[in-house]
Amino acid sequence: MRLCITTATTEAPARLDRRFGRSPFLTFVDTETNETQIEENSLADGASGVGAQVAQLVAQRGATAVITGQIGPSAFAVLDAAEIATYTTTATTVAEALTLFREGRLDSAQAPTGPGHHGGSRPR
Amino acid sequence: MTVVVASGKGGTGKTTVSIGLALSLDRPVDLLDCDVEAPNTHLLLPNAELDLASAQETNRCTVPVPRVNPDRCTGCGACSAFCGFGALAVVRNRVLFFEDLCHACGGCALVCPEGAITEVPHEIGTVVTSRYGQVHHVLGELHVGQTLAPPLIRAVKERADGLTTIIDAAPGTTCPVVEAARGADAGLLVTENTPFGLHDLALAAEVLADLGIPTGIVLNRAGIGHEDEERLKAVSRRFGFPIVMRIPFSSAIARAYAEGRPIVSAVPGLRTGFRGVYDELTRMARSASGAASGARS
Repeated sequence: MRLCITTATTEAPARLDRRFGRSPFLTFVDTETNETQIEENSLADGASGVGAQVAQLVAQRGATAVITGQIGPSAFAVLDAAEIATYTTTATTVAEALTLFREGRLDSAQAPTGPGHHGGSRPR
Repeated sequence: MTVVVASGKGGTGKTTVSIGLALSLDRPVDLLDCDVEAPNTHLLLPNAELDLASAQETNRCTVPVPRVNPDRCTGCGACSAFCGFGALAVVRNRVLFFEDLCHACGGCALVCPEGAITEVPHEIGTVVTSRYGQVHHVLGELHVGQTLAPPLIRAVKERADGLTTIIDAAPGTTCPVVEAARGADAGLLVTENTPFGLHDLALAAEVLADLGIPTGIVLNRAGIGHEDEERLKAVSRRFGFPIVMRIPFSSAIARAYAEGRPIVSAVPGLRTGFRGVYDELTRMARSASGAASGARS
């Protein structure tokens, strides 16, 4: 499966960014081959609707699961519609999050972790 | 002539000045409350308690938002790619629409190659109209949870139907203030001589200067003490905005304000002062439009 991990810094040890949407990088990991790609998040500085747009991008990249710290209602709704599982963690590095995921120690989020920043948007 | 009353800092007396001006002119006046997130002109008008109930009419204000026909949509993503506000996302060939983020620009419907998007009205607030003597009072009130103030402000401004219009703007320097002020012939900036008041006065003055609106400064609560007259004059000089009125810090005015009465009913001399302000603004607006047409020719 293809995982997406929100990433704050890329030099080792790469740090996980707790924010979904505004994280400066997205790390994509193929869990079978361990192949890793780091993509700069070009949407991170957008004025509004960033969470939903990054969720759309993650779906376009073919990820089937996301690991992040917290996620708002718009982004969660898009990931949910794309049938992408969302795992939340307090791990501080990408490697640690990956280990916890492989050991089955991350819980999948069934709802957004916060109210969002722009009125707590839900799609129609 | 259209006069916009703004301030930068909140609580300096915009509404007090707007109503004072409206009640002093002895002619029909459109008084527009464009502080649509917290409208309050009705509280200082006579018969305030009757206002909303006695309103001549209440009109719903709507903006057009997209509705996607799933039978036509191919999930191409053109709408989402176009939207500058992230209000549309497309996953698994399905469009998700986030109404709170939509600025009702209509672009998504234009770029959809399948004609799958139609626009449907979405109510964002109400426009309440009433009359007090010669004052035609129009108040816009944004619904709770709505963020799109400018279209409602435009709807309020469209209701002005006379020769003299006074616009009570929101505090601050954001889009609602710009939308309220846009197109005004003259401006009034109401300030108090405190560090906070003068700091925000300069910010608001930048907005009105940028919009090219000739503007006068009204100093409210003149005489509260510890005032920095030089700093006030420096702002006035920097923008070329003259100080056109000083409303004294007086117990008679404070009492009227506390009782929810217009200050001109408490201190009769103020009417003359407000008329003088209006005349001065008229001169400034004429000279500015003369200069503008001279520059064009």
